[in-house]
Amino acid sequence: MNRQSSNNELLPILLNGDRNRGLEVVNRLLEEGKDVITIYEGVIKPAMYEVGELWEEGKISVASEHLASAIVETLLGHLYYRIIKNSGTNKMVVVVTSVEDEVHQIGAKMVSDMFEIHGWTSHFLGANTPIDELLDFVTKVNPTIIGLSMSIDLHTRNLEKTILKIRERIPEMPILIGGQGLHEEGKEIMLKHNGVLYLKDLQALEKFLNQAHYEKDRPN
Amino acid sequence: MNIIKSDRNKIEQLIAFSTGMMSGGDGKELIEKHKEALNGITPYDMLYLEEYQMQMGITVPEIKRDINKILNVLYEYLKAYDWERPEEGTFLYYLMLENRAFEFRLNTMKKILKAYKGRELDELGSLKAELLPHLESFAGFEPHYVKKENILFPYLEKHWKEYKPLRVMWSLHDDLRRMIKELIGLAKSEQSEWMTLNRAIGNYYFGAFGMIQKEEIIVYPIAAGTIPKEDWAEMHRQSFEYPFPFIDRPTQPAEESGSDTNIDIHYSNRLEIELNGPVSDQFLQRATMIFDSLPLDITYVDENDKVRYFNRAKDRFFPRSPAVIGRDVRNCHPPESLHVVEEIVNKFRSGERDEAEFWITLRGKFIHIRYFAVRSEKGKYKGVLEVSQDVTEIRKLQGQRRLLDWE
Repeated sequence: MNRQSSNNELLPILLNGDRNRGLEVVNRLLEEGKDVITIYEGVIKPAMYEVGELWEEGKISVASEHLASAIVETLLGHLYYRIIKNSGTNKMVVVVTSVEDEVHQIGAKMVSDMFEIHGWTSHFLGANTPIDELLDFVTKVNPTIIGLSMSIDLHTRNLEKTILKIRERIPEMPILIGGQGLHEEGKEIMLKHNGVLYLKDLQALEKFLNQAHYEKDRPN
Repeated sequence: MNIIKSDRNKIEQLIAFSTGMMSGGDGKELIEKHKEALNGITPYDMLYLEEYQMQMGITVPEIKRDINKILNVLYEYLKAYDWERPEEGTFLYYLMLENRAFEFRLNTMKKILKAYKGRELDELGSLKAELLPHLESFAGFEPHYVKKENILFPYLEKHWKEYKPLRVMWSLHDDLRRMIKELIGLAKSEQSEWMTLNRAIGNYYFGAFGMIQKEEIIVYPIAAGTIPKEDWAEMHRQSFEYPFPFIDRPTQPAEESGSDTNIDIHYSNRLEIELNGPVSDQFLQRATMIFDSLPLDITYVDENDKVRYFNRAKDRFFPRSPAVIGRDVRNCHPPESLHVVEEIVNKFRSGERDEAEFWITLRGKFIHIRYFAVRSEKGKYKGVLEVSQDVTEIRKLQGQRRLLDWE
């Protein structure tokens, strides 16, 4: 991605650490009638991807990356109270977490919010949840689905280990996987394990949550 | 044509094993007795087994009745069969990915059912309301079965000598179609009882999971081992005629290059009607455009009962793929309706009849389906033309409209 020509208005705000301007942008988008997927998928996610790339290339410091993440988490928190009104209106429960050793949690939080918007009860466990702790929690709340997020592809082994451990404990548990770290291998992992669904982005999650028939994808 | 090899002695033992299972024998005892044959059993053996069963006069409904039971016992043996898994970008890869996504949805609904455990009778209304969107989404898996029937099966018929067991699979597709329709009806009905709904869900799940199992431990491994590479590419290309249920639509492979005046491969595949004298590309293109512009689904089967042509009408309600060209018409239908196809073809051929018609409702549309005998000027039988039309709006017409009205 060419950041010189990036037109993501949130990116410079995050890089400058300007929390208030970030809130202004989000509020304006809501007032313009933008839905949550558009804000998450079209504005926040690409901005954070760019922040991640800048950090990987050594163009920004760890501190700047952390600052940007902290601002985004504030924005998500702010959005949460403005948009989520249906949480817990159906009987479905999801546990969403990042895999063990994965320190990024913003993608998982967005996924958790999407479930809540659709009336699910969501237990968001955040980043780097140890596998055994996750299993204990899952056994306790017995969710309808477990969502596992992975931002860095180095954690593929942990993801697969988690899937297998969940399978051992609760054989039929539906496991949703996603995140930037799975763009290459998501489908392969899905094919390898029964009852695992890889969703590449929030639009795909939205389709799933709407129980879309995918008939619309049919070409004329 | 590939000759699928299998050990005759092993097959005989398998027949004895399956006959024992079908007549209610003890599974454990039968496994012990035939364990030598069961160890190292391959998907090819299963295909032979079913082929022999059919040759022995065991009917499709009889095979269907016990196939899941037998496969459940043999699952562990068959699962161990080593075969080359399809790579991303291939027809089979996406069929398998669709299965994973379907399993995920099936398991998700199962969890919802568990959440209601013990309270089903008290909260039946809300349970039905919660299940309904899931059941409706399961009906959206239909294109997966259509792709098998219209793309995979025709290729398998070309490469497998023992393709008759595919009829059992097609019949099982139809069972699943009927079951999900009934289930949706039960979930929508205020009168339906929990016991009936629960039983119907159980049967559907048994069938749906059983189908995935049959695909992945028998049909796909044999298909991967018998269909040549060049055919897989064409199958993948044809699959873009259909949706990819529950997964993201893959990137479509680029069309082979060619100028505008060249006949598209679809056209050449579909227009195999014998014509006297040379036919220009332009003529074929025009004819194709004309037939494709008709508000009718047209399929032509020649005097040798082979599918020779179908048009590509907008919003075709009976899907067809180029793979069906050259296919025997008997293989284009599930076994339950085979006798009807044969009766029409035979009576047209003998000259006893010239037309047959049916009308059905399909996804809320009223469809009129007609069959016409095609004869030469001298009255010689030249095949059957199937013409299907959505007459929903036509049936509502009343009075007259004699002036143009585009409003």
